[in-house]
Amino acid sequence: MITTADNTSRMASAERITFLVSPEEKRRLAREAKKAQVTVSDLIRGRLFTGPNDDEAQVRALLAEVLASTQRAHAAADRMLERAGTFEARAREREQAARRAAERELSGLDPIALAAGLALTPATTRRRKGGR
Amino acid sequence: MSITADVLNTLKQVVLMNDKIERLEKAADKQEETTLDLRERVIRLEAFIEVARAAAHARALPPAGG
Repeated sequence: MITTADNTSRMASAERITFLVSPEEKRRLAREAKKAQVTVSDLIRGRLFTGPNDDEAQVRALLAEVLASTQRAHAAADRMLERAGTFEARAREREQAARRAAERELSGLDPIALAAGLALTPATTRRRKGGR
Repeated sequence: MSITADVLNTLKQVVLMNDKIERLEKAADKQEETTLDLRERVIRLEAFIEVARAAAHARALPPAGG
């Protein structure tokens, strides 16, 4: 992608630089230039002298996402640790409430009938029944 | 693989791990509620059995002065 600034820079270009690269590097430059639909010279100038390239923009965008998701994960981990630290106290509180509720419920029942219903009759009674 | 691709891949792994931590929090919430519910049910059963056993024991005692 060539911007107006690039064109201005290109128009002002008057110096020539020659440098050696390997055949693979040359192929890569050609490939990248073709991909970006620019000349090799424009590609090199663009990478060096203009704003952030695509890679940098991608990394910056992902960094912002990493930062936001890490902050959310930190908050989630803090909440989990806080709940784990208070779990026993909260469990005891709920158990006490459950016990009080059960006692209220049982106060209206006949304990003898309840014992019989749960087959918790005393051993002596069971022996007498068996003897008959 | 270029260094940029490595960096991007690593950052993506961090984002995925963070997402797992958030999902883990929701799973832990559910498990905690299940555990608390089970403990309440055990307490209720214990209370029933305690009352019933006390009643059965009282019934088994010989009458006073007998």
